[in-house]
Amino acid sequence: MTVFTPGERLVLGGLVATALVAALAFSLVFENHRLLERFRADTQRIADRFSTQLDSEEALLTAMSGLAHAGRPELPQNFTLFTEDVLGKYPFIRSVRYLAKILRSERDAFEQTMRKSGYPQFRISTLSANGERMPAGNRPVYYPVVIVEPMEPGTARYLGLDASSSDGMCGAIALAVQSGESVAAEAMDPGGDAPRYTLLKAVYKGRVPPEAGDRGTHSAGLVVMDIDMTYLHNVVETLYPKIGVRLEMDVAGASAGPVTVMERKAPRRQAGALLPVMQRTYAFPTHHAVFRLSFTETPALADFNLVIVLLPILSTALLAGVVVFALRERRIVQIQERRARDTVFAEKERAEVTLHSIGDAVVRTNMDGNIEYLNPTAEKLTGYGRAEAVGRPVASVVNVGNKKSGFETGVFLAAGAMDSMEADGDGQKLVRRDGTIVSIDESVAPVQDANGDIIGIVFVLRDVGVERQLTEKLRYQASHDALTGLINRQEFERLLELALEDARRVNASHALLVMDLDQFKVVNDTSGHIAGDQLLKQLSSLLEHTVRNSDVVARLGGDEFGVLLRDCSIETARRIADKLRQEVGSFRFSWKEKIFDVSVSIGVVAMDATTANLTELFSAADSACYIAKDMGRNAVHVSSPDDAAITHRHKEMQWVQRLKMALREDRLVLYCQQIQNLDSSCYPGRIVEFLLRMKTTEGEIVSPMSFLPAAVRYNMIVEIDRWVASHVMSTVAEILSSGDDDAGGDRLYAMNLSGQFLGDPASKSFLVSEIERTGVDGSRLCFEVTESSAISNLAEALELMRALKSLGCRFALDDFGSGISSFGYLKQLPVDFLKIDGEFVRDMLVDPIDRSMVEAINKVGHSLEICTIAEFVEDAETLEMLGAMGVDFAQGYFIGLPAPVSEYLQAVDKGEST
Amino acid sequence: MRRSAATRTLLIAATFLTPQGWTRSAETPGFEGRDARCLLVSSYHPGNEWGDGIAGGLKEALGNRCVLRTFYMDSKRNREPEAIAGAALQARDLIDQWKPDIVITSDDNAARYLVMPWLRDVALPVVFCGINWTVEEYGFPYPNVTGMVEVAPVAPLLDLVRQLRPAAAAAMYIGADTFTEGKNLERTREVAREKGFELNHALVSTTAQWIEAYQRAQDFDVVMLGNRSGIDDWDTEAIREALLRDTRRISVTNYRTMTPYAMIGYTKIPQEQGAWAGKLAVEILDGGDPSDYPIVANRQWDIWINLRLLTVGHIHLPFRLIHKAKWVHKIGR
Repeated sequence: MTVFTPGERLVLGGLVATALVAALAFSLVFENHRLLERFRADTQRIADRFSTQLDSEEALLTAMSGLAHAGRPELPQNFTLFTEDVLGKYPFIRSVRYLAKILRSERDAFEQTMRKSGYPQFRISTLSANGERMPAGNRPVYYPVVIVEPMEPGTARYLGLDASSSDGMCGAIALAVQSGESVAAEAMDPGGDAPRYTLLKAVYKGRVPPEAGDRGTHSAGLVVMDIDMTYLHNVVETLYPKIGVRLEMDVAGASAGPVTVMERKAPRRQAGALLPVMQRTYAFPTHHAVFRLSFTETPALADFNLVIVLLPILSTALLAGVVVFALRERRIVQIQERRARDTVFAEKERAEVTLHSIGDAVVRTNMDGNIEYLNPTAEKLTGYGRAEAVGRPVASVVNVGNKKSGFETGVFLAAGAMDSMEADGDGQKLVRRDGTIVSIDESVAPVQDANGDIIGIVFVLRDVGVERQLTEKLRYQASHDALTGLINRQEFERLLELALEDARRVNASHALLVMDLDQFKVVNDTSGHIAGDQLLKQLSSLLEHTVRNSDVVARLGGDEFGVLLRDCSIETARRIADKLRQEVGSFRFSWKEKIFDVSVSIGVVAMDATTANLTELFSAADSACYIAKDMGRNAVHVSSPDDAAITHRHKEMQWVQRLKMALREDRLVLYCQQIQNLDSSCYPGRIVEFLLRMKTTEGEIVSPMSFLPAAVRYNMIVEIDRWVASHVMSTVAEILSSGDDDAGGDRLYAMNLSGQFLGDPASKSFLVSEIERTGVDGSRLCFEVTESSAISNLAEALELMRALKSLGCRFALDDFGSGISSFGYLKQLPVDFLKIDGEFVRDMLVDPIDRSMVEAINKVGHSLEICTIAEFVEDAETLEMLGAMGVDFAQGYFIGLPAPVSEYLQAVDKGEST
Repeated sequence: MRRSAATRTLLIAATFLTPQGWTRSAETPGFEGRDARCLLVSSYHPGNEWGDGIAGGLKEALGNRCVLRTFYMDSKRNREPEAIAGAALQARDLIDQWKPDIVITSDDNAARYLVMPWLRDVALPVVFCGINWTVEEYGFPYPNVTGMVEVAPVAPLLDLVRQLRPAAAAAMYIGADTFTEGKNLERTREVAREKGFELNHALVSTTAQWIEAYQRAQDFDVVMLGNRSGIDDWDTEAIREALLRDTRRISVTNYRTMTPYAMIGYTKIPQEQGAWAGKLAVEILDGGDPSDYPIVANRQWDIWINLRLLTVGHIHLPFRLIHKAKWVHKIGR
């Protein structure tokens, strides 16, 4: 947008540029002055530091010469302690030495004394040009180093070095002795790149002679302090990195002129040539030398404080900008007003076209509720043309039946009670002009003018008939079982929660039935899943027709159903449950010419204000259903709080949880119990039986009687048997390979297998693969099965026994005599051992019937060429009687207590349990 | 006798073995792809207070610069020369097998029986410490040998006596009647003479003789207590009674073990010896030549003050001495 003319721009630009140049010049002059002030202050601080250092050097040198004066410097305990302290505190002191004054006549004796004092190589020496030590030549007086601090392997080599052999030092020594003052000199010892100089101060015998001529004869030595200027160099480099520094030492009378002790060149900086270099020198006169510290710094643009430099420029620029901006704004307003008028007209045109194009119906009213506008979609939806609708009340065109009209809502909006509104979840129904009804979504919003005043209401209507149908379908599918059409578990649980809330709120009584079909597996297994599905569908229909209208039937999963009996006492619930049981029991399911009788077991639980939660409710109902099944199926069991069966069931379920945890945390352990051979002729070896124990989280050992019944009932016993078989075989493999088995290869290792394990078709291959995995010789294994378990799973048991016997394994029939069909089956089972039930053995000494039973079983066994084992042998008399009867083996606490495998093996090693 | 004969045989056999094989493993010791190795050959046994002190100072100075291994010659408990020579041969064999980059020896017997016969003028660097008074008898330094001599702080002790008793001139030295104490006496006498003291002496073999000598010493200006090692019936209680009863003169000692019996003790510090040896070893392992480092003497000592005896003898000490000293509160224990 062109606001100013070219002429106007030229004048404005010139004025602004002039103001900026003036501001820049002012800033630079001001900033240069500031940098000079800073340079002066920085260099003054460094100079002050050096001045302090010089004062400290003088004070320390005086103190050390005083110490040397007071004591005997050759034996330098006090001197050493002081200098060690000084070296630690003053970083600029590199080293301290004491030079003893030795006359030529004293040289031999002095060297001898030093050699006797623990310095066997001591001699007064000098350094050759190439740095090698050589004995000092004849001189009237020597100044050898006799103390050096810090004393290190590297500095010890200076001991004996004659300082006066160096020309430079010789003059300094003479000056120090003659003057009695501190004298500066170039660094004494060779080597090292550090910037240094040396200070010397003479030590005299007695007081310092007032006459200079006497001082030479009374001098005893010198204290020498080596000063390292690295410290100051580092201070400058760290704190004032832009400053260059040079320290010169100008010793009075030195022919070579000033000596540069330390130098740090100022860094080269950009734009340095444009600005003047800043320089400053400080002089520090001492007794016989002057130290000069010279500083340089080249200022650079980077040093300028941008804020200070730019502030006047920016201020000027800002002022100019404000003026130009104000002029420009005025022009722009004029132009924009003209353009706005054109734009508003175009926008209105576009809005009209847009409203005609969108798929939603749009109706606008004035504040009286009369229609001012409706778009073509609204015409189609309502059945009214625009010409007919405009001017009519909106409710007569947008007819939403009995529901609150959009206009009323619009009034709320207009009053500020709402921001906008949408139809509720059920949706609005619109009655069209022809009487048909369509589902719509309706939203209403106020129309406001530029001042925010409401000038009308706009309705947006959308036909959502198809969407709503789809939603309904999804909602149904989410809450119903696809196969039976009954509500599913999720929905059932929701209804139960509502019922529980109701029970608590108004003290209502409801009931829950959990039903499990008894023969469903038979149908599935014999006629396939399609038949099973058909059965479920037919039964669902039957159940729905049997219960009351207010009750709800649900499929909980598989062949399990639930019924919620609303407002129902427990007695009524029992009656309904029994009716359901009878109806199902009398139902005959036919499938492809087969007729199946089905029955159902039903658990009943009351729901009232005392019911804790859904989990407990289901738990109680499931337990009651289990009990109904245990009652022989086709039964109803009503749960009650003092129900012993339920309590027992709960306990068992707790054991199941513990057992699962124990399996997961590897807390099952194996014990061993010895079975003693009573001079058996049928098997010459010995037998060890592996027993299972569970370790609690507290480390207590739990007997299998506590957890095995639960494991059997809840189908965990197969998993446990697998664990036992696998671990026993691994243990036996270990024993056999380690040589712990000392029984000459005839010890038999026995373990127990349950009825369910025998009945599992996978058990055979599992045991065979475990034998292969561990490499255990099958003839060393014996599997104990109870007679009842073998008989209940006779076919599978026989198949498993034959397969394992082909690998050399043996079998024992456990607890023989406790069953009722023993002798008949005994002939069929290929067992090698018969374990006489301990109940007979325990009391055989006092009970003649038990004794007869033991005798009879023993005889039967032997007649079938089966070895016999008596259990529960708890005293010597019983053992003796069993031997007399000819029983082959004995087992019991008298023979040996069950013990952990490791303990058992230790006992075997000691020969205690063999 | 069997042991001596065996040791002798070992010695003869060992004389045919030359130490020529011991060369520094490389220009810079400790390289060849392995950590540097330092072997400490201690003249004494583990648990010996002096030897352990040296080892402590050495370890601290060495830090992690090398792997340190220690061989104990145990010559304090097995004093026969044959046994000590046998131990030295074992140390030599260990050097042969383990191939250290530097050998550090502590005290005289390691120098006499190992360094002098087996490690003289070889390429393997040796640092010694803890050698008493002088290395003259071992002919040190060798080009490959340097270290620190152990000088008893007799002179500063006598300097102190001179400060406390400016007019004192006669001193009495009491020690065990042993060869070592005889040598110590002579060294002490020499220093005493330089300090202006005439040193009388009593070298004794029994507690009774020691007590009798102590009583006589009260007629002198100062009593110097030498080592009691060699007085087999040393009776602490009897000595304690005598000290409480007879003490009238200032008594001093340079022996750590005698600090419970003397008013003032100036004693050598084993850690200083070990630390110096360690620093030297590091310098040499870093490429230094042993001949560049002169043999030096120790410069530090511990100060011991027996407050009980000072009270008994009515002796007052300057504050700076008390301030720096370690205090002994009891007599004879």
